[in-house]
Amino acid sequence: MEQATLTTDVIATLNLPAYPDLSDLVNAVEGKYGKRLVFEEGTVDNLGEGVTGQWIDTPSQGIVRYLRGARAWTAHVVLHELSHILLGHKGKPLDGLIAGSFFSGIGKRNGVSWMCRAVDVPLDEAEAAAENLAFGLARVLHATPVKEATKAERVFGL
Amino acid sequence: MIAAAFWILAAVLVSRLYFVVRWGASSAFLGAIGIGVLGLFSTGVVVPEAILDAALGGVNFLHLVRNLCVTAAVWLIREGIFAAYSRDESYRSRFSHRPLAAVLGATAITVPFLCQQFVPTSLSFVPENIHQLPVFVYAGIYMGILALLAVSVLRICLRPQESLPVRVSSRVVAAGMALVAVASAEEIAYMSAMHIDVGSSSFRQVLYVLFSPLFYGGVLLTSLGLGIPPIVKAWRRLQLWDRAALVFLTATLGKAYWGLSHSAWIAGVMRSVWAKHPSAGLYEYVIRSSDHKIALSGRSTPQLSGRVLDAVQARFDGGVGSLESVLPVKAPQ
Repeated sequence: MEQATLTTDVIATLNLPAYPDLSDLVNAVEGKYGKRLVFEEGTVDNLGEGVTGQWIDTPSQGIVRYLRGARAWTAHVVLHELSHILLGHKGKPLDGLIAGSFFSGIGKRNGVSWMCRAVDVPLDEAEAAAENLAFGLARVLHATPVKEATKAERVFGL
Repeated sequence: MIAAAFWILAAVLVSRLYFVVRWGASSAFLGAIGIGVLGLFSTGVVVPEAILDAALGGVNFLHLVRNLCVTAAVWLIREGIFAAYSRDESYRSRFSHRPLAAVLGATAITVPFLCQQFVPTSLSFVPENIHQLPVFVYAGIYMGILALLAVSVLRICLRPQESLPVRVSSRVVAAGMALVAVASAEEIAYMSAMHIDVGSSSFRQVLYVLFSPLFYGGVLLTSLGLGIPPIVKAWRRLQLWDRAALVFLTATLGKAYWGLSHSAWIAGVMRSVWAKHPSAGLYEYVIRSSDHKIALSGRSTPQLSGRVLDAVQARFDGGVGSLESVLPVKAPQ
């Protein structure tokens, strides 16, 4: 499926309010995921060099680790990880990831799977789809509410 | 100044027509602007007055046509602004807003004009014929009606207004109408002095010289004021700030951020110009910029590009609340 169509379709299934915020989105993803999500700030030590975010799928909950940065960027990292969940990448921990040295210790272990957002390796199909969906979700989150024109504005042609 | 007012008003007319046809914008003021353009056209900015007047019989009918156009244009501006500022349509029931009042005003101007002893085309028709009572009455009534209309527009334009573009537009129109009102009163004083032969010649000369800059300055400001909404609308529709920022960032950072070849970079700049959602492109730059700081910390961003990025970044950061306030954060272990 074309990525733009996939992104549109996935967002449509979330039944988000008109101008959702991040918590609306997290609630919707939890509904699809069927588990609670918890978020924690990650570090280079627990994420790996060049990795900005990570989703750890455990039997009872999902853990999203994000590297702290500019507010919009950090939110984007979270959106990327949420996108992996929405795209059903769960259970295929290294699916599509181009193995780099920093992935060497990551894998499915004891029912725990991992997905990472790396920035210095080429994005493969899964990562590209997640990133594309993250941009789509960001567009929804950053959409500016349409302000209804006043009578004066309508008459003045605005 | 007359030529500037004509071309500005013509441009405003074309842009407003485009918005009405293309985007279904309000057609209010279109009539006023169109008639205003016609009135200014009759001042000889494109075709000499003598040629236009010759087509109308060569006895200064152009003067009447111009004055009726100006009166009608100001009348329609007043109606448009009342429509914009009034909560309901009750103002229409007032006599001064009824079409009959407009017809009576036009008749009051036209009848004395028709009663004059007609003379060949003159570029100084009123000053040269002010000794004729019908010409004095004609010009006096015209200027009186125009002053009243201008003061009426001025008053309503100064009412409180929530919308900034409407407020700016109407304040500029108000300034223009104030000048038109002053010019009209000043012209009545000049014509009275000439007709009843009072005041020194230098005093009359000062009054005569003052009219054009006051009157056409007022017309120019009114044209500019009416041109503000189309500019704002175009600015919003075309997202010009976002577009300019995206083109700039693509031009300065496109190669470094996306590793584009020269031809792909040129194509990227062109795509930025025509981007449907330039803000989406800017968001990508904001994300990419932080990615670079994480992964490629050694690379620096040119200072000006960095400032544009900071401005865009601040906008997107402002749209996201504190993560801790919206996300269930896992307790530290």
